Amino acid sequence: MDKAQIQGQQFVYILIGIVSVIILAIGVQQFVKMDDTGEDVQLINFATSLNNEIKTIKDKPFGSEDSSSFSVPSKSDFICFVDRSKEINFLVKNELKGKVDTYSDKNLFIAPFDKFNNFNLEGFELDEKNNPLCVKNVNGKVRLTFESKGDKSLISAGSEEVESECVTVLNNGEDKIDVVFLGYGYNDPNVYKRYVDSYTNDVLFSVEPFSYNKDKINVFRVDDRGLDCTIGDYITCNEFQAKQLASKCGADYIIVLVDRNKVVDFLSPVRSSARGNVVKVNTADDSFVLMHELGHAIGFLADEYVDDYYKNMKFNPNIYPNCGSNCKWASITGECFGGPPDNDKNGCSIDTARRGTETSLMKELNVESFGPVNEYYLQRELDEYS
Amino acid sequence: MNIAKKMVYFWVFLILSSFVCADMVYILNLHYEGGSITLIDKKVDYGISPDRLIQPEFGFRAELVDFNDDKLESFRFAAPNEMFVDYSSEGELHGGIIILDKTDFALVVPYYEELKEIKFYNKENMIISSVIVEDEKLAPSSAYGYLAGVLVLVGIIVWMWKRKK
Repeated sequence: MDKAQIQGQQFVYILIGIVSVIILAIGVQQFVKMDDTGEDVQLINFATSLNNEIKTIKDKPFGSEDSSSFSVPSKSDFICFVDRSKEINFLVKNELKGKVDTYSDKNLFIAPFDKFNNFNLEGFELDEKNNPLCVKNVNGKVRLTFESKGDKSLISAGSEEVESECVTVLNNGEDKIDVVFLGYGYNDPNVYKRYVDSYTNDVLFSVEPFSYNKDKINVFRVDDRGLDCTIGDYITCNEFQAKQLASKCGADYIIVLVDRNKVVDFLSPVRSSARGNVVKVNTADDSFVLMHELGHAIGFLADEYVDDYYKNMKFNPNIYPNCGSNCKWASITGECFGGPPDNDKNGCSIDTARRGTETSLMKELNVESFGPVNEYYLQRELDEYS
Repeated sequence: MNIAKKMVYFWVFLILSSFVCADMVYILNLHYEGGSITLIDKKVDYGISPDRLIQPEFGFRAELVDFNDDKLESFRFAAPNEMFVDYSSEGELHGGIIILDKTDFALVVPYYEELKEIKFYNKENMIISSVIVEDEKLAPSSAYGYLAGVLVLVGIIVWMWKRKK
């Protein structure tokens, strides 16, 4: 090997090194950006939930009280409220003064103050002795008490953490669809919290018609780690226990997230499932499997993929809105797919049935859409709520 | 205000607070086997019942009946023995629906003082079971707590009355 070749080789190594560092740096930057974006959505959900809770309590008889826990970004230290109609004692939190002066139209500040956006809440007041009111983030949540004062809600720090409590992730008010997350197998509460936030914001509210109907849905999580489940071909949980835990939040739908560490070592894939209003999700699988299961649970939709399993049972496609022996979606799209004559694993649960959508989340997870027919039926169910 | 008066107000407040009940529910632990439903266990607890504005067109039905055999409310729910199971491989979905011969499941229904039984109907709207739920009332801890509060209040009043004398 001559000198020129050696120099050329060194140049290639240096080039590889530089490219590797750049790729790594971009990756880290994207990861940090993704995390920050997630926290922005969490904060918006938090502010929305606070506004709705303030309004709900304010409208109740004078003196009515309610305590709730709210999910907040893990990286936040304190949540500070400021009542600008009263004297503010900055000795409580000296570093808050600059922010309160600069952002004169805001009254909700999140520490570290340089990291998070500030918000404006309507219709609340603070006790003069607790202005500002700064509440510590404990395990990704803050507990607050609201008391009706007629035209306003008085906010104070909630009492000690309650076991099996219901933590608000998004509160859009009363008479909404209440979705409650339960966890199984999570040793670290922050990991569980991150999964709940991600499944809520990046999955549930990223797909129509759920994103369009976000204001009809409340999301809660229960942090109790005592749920009893077993893992086999599919996930089985003690439903009596799950419903006891979730009934504190008024669950219309329960989503059990199973920690990926509990399922990754299984040789055959562990199936996610839907039965009644309980959905169990193997978090090691594609996260959009949640939407497929909610399609079953909320829309009563059938599988649009064809599986041999269905051949061995008496399956009637006509009782499902998205499958049928005839093309029954003329009023929606007028289109029809699968079934005879082009069967061959291209039907709706069974290869002789037809479906209204070419492909959708009920058929595969490579698309992140329910398609027009399934969206129509899901929207019809969501329209039951205002 | 003297200490005794303050204590009375404090206990009156506590006792009155115990009257402010959150919503209460029956949580029923049920067993399905061979088309029939039996009650394994039940619990009355503070909580909120599902509003059930979304119900399946084809499903089982529960009918809550009072002591006069009048219907309190009725709702449909998905067949408890049918479970959709799914997993994905490179985006392709596999799985199907499992029909269970027997299984445990749970229902949360609103608490009614006058609730006697719940009748269950299958998909063909034929009655398959009836479970009696009348015997359990308040959760023991709540009832004992309330009773203890009343006794303490009575004790304070008697003590004050004797002290005044």
